[in-house]
Amino acid sequence: MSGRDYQDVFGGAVMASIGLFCAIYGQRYDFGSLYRMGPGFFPVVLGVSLAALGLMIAVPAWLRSGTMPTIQWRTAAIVVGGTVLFGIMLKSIGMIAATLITAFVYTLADRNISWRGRAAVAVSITVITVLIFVIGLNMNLPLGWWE
Amino acid sequence: MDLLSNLMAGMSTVLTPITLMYCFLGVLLGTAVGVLPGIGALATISLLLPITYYIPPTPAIIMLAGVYYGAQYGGSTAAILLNLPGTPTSAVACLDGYPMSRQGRAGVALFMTTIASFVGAMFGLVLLISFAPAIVELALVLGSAEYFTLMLLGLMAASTLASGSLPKSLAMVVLGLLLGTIGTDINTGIDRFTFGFYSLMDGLSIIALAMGVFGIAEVISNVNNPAPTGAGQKISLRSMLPTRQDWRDSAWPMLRGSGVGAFFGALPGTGASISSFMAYAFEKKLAADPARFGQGAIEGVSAPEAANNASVQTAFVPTLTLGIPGDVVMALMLGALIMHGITPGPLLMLEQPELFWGLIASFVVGNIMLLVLNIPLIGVWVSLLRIPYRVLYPVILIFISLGVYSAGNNIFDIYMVAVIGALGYAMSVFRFQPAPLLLGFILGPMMEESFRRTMLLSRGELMIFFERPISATILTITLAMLAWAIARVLYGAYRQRSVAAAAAKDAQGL
Repeated sequence: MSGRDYQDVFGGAVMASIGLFCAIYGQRYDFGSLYRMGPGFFPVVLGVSLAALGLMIAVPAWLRSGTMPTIQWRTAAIVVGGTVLFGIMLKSIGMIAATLITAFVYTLADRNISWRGRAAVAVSITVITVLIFVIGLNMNLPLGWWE
Repeated sequence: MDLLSNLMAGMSTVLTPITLMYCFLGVLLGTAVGVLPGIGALATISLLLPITYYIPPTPAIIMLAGVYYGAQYGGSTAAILLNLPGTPTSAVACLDGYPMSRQGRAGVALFMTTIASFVGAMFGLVLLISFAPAIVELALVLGSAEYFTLMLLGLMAASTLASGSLPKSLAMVVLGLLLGTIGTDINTGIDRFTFGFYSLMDGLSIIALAMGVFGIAEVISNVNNPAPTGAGQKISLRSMLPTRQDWRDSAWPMLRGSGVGAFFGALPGTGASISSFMAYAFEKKLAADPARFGQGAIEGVSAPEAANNASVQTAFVPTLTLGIPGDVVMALMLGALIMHGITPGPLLMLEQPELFWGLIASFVVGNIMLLVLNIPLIGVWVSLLRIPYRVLYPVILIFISLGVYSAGNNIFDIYMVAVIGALGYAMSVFRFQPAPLLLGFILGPMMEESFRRTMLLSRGELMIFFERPISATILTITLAMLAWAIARVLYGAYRQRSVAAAAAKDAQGL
């Protein structure tokens, strides 16, 4: 337990800032009137509402105690980074190599697996993926860098 | 009778080898992904969506629908055996299903959930058949004001009935609506919130959004969870046989659960998860001895299971008759229809009777297939649970990336899903519910459009929503729902404070 419910203080503050950003950024679109709504009407109204809701979340949380959430930084970084990596590699080095490397990167997220196990998982996933997407579904993707 | 001949016509559509095959494929895949924790109907349908380009529309929709209701059957298996919901909707099945399994009654629980699923599905289907034509007639007279208030009701129901804090789920709805405004505004052609990205002009990809917040975020939270025990169980057919007492205890809860599920399913915005929670809570309130719940009470398994299957059937009502999707899966289903050049809405039933009645007939056929798949073949599904998550999650992640890529042939969508996944994980860390966000995103553009149209008609007069009787009624229900939810929050805060005050007094007294 800590003095304040930081989970909701942060969460609410983030929501409030997104709302505020949308309301301000939405100013560049024509607001119009209720009769003839412009493209800015919806975003600005919604942005203001989100900012208000964010405050409604954050302010009471500031006044009560709560627990700090635990964040799996490592897992999140591996999973998100691996996905970005896959996007970068898919077209340049082809699907087979991209899948093999990415699947291996993904297995790093699990701490309880041997290096040999990781390699085995990566290879079998590559085989399954090629079988399903290329042979089964006939998806149009470059298989390797030679294509 | 008109209805009967329509159904017969539907049956003849389904009972062709090709359609039957796709129906079977759908329910088979649905059960498999339902059983496997970490991958659900949503991800599967997103992956199948691009494939349906190559299939005629009716079998395509029948297959996708099969995945959806098939997953409801499979979802409870992992919940009962491993205390781990296979799909979010089956989380309730853990509460009493897992205790049953620890008492050695896993077989009975699995059998009952299948029967309850079937009963619920048939109940929902009967309601779907009897109400859909009437709603279609009604829908033809609904104007944009009614559409707007109906969607508002859906969003309000989704955020007030969801678990967790009210302002947080409302914030998720609003954020979803905001995300829905990304892309080219259809009325003026102005790009909104695209930040110069060409790929965002068509709006955020719903598949990327859904897979990001449900798929990627879920994997991140699950990877290093300790492996569940109990997957090695063998379920014999004999152990599945319920006693007479089990039947007696389940009969009414199943019917009540079906009723609860059918109601929440038909309401746009509330789907299978809410229905099963409601059905569970309802049974617990009605029970002579509520203490049995959580200790392996069979009605705690059969009622919610009937409810989520009934709701899946009735969820097709707003989707097929009004073109308003009640949840994300339905939105993808609508996407599939639109991809095939079919406009969902009140005219669908009149213009595409083959599709409409074929789909309905396929529910009957598919549910019978599921009954066969889930009782004699339960052992196969149980053994599927032996696949460890460490092997499963990299496959899920690769499939997600390839799925979003193949839906639009755009690498940008892979980056998008990574970013949304990171945000989705942050949301789950801060305990924000993803479901209201997605619903807001889906309904957002439609709501903006109908609101704009209403305002044009009324010359900017907001009172129009109260002047039209149907829209006024819906709006009143919506406001009542909000008022009730706020009252509940305030009452909760008041009670907590008085408890705290009493505790403080006690402390002083000592």
